[in-house]
Amino acid sequence: MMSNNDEFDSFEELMRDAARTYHTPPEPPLDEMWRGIDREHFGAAAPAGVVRVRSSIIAAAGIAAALVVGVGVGRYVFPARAVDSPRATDLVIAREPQPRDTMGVFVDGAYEAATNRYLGQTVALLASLPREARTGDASTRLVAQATELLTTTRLLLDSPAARDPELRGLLDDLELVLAQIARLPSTQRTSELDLITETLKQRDVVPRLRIAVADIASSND
Amino acid sequence: MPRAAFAIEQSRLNDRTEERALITRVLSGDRVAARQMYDAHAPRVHRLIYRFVGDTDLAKELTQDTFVRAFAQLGTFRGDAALSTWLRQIAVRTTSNGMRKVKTFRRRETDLDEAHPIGVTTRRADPDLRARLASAIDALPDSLRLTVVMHDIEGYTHAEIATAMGVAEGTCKSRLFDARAVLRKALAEFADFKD
Repeated sequence: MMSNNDEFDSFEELMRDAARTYHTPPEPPLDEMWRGIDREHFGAAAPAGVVRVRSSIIAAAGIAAALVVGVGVGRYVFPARAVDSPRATDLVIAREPQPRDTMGVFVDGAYEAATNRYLGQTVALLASLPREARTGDASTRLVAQATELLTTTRLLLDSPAARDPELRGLLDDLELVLAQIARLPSTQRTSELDLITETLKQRDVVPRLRIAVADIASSND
Repeated sequence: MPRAAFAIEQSRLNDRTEERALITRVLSGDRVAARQMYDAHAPRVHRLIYRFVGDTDLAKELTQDTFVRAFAQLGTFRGDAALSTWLRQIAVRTTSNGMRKVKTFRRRETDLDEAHPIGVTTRRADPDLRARLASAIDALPDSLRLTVVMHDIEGYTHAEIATAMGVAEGTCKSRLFDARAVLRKALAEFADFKD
């Protein structure tokens, strides 16, 4: 192996190089670390009004499965009418389960997975917004993704998940934001995206999303 | 005051006002605000800690400890300095204490004479100068290593390092001087520097 001992004329140069190479930090595992912090700091006494999603509180499996199937069917059958359609209640089985706990939180494995996937995809989409706004690169793909996620949002809003006030509030905000993105005209997308990004900031949508994802993930720990 | 300077000062004031508002929300138990604060500062804190410990799990753990402490002590933050400065102080203290515990633990497990310096890997046999420097930095006493890491690797000023470590700026400068002298000596037989 070739040595790089001749590469550095001066000590200062070597130290400058070290700034790039010494213990080069990886991407910080923000969500993973937050789960630990959240558990330790807020876990013992979550403030009033905050409902943590727990896997121990299990809803009727049939309803959850129906929701997941409904989301899937909705994605394949009704993608085109998603933006302007009313909430897709027709895709969800109307019968609701009886609450098994006093908090009325309905979660089971299948439902958790669907919600988690939805939240993850939404985080990814929203995180790309500032960049797309900056580069003026708001693509058709972005609009298509938002349309798809909007359909899922509406399904979730009509599902037992919306009984959790925290999640419902988040879904309401997401519906608004996703509808804005889904309706973006092909021109002037950059300025519209700026406005949407501003809305996201004002309503703390991304941090709330991350908390919801962390809640579901920590319920699986 | 020149217009540019005024604008910078104004934006700083706005930042501080927003910061105060966020802190108030966190203190009232708002998890969303806490997550916002964490998102804004965690990458920098984690980066500094990782540079110092060079270990993924340890960096994660110490970053978590830093924020758990910060949230627990947030009520004592007076706002004299920026929140980032205060968090850096906690990070440095937490990391120094953490490393002390790790060293004590390792000392119990291995014969100190044969123990490797704490860091990711030992590169004693590696002829590469870059790797020798890394080993030499790893082997520095913590106070010198932290000073070198913060100044030469992460680019903090002496004033910032002094505040974070709770020492006088002069102490910080002399630590950097000492650290560099040790490093030069460690590399002397492998490189003939012109400076």
